[in-house]
Amino acid sequence: MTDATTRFDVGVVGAGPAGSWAARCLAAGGARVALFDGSHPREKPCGGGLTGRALALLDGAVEPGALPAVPVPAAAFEHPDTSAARVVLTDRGRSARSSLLVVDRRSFDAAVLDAAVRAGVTHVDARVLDVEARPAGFLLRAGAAAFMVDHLVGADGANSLVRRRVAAPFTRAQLSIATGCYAHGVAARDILIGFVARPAGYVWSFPRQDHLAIGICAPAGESSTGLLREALRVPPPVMPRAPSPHTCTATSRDERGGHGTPGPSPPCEPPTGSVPSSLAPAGCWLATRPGSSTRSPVKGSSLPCSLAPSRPRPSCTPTPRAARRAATRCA
Amino acid sequence: MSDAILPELVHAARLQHGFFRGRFTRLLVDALRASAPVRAVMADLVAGRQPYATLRRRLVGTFEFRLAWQLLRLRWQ
Repeated sequence: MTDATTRFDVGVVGAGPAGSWAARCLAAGGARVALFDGSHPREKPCGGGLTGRALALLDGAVEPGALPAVPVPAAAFEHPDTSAARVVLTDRGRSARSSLLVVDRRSFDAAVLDAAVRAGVTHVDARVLDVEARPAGFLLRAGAAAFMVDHLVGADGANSLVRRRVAAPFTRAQLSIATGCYAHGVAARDILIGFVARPAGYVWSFPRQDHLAIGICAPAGESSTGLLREALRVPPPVMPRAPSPHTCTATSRDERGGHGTPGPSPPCEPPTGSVPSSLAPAGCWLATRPGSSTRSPVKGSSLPCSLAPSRPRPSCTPTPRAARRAATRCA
Repeated sequence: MSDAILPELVHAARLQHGFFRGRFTRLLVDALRASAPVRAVMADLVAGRQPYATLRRRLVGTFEFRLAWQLLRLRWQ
């Protein structure tokens, strides 16, 4: 006896790329699949890198050429105690033959979700509020409705409700934490990975079509969100106003993840400081609006920057050395 | 798909523990700057075409013995 109104073979909780793709594969194999998520597609500063291997896996379901993707020609690696290294990648445009494309998450997540729905997945656009194991399967309450599923897939991030209800939560030692922001008004083509000593992790800058996704990641067991913000050294937020041609803008977002899996955003306080040299390819300072809504366009917080380009550049070459020089002049 | 991905995740989780130590990351950046074969390995790693399972074997195949020696010294310290 159940109070569920609808029954499925499989319930997948979380419509990020992992959940949507799992749902799509199961549906393509003939299962009746419900995919639960009320928040996707959404924007976030991490997880936008698509490797050639991942693109090959998506072949036929997601067309890379249709995504607002940026092919990456090279990756720069930095360490504070030595000069940087640049690794040239294969750039064959927006195709699986390229080494790496960077996409904005909203577009990519939407494309994978669409592929799942086209394969027959039922997207339940509501947040799962509770999961209960029963002898005949699992009962899920999502919004005002209840669903019974024979099998359950948890793809709902580091704070996974499924995992907490069915198994046990991740320990802190199993997780990585990250915080990031979007930098508008600057552009780049290379990705930058800068290793940092405290916390022991790395900062990243990934070029997207109209902004840079910038962030820092470290093992959660050895770090905290405050430490990450301090290491990223982003200045405090300023009063929102319309961005001018002489400003660059950014918003920030915190993430927690296990093995690269993003989780929900915890409460966020204003970070302080400056952007590391490698993350300031146009030599500008970044303003932040902590905990910004990912459903609204990223704009509003802005800060004058004397070295920012007079208009957004279509591209620039953010060599670490050039970035360091620019940041020094800006300081 | 799980046959291809699960062992990779297990390898990556194992490597992650010591990966971000400062001396190791410095050696990594030095190696990338100094050696074209190591850069080629990294390029394939970034593209997802170099599995972690065969990473060590491929790095040994670059014959970068000076770097290998430095890595061994790092592990002893």
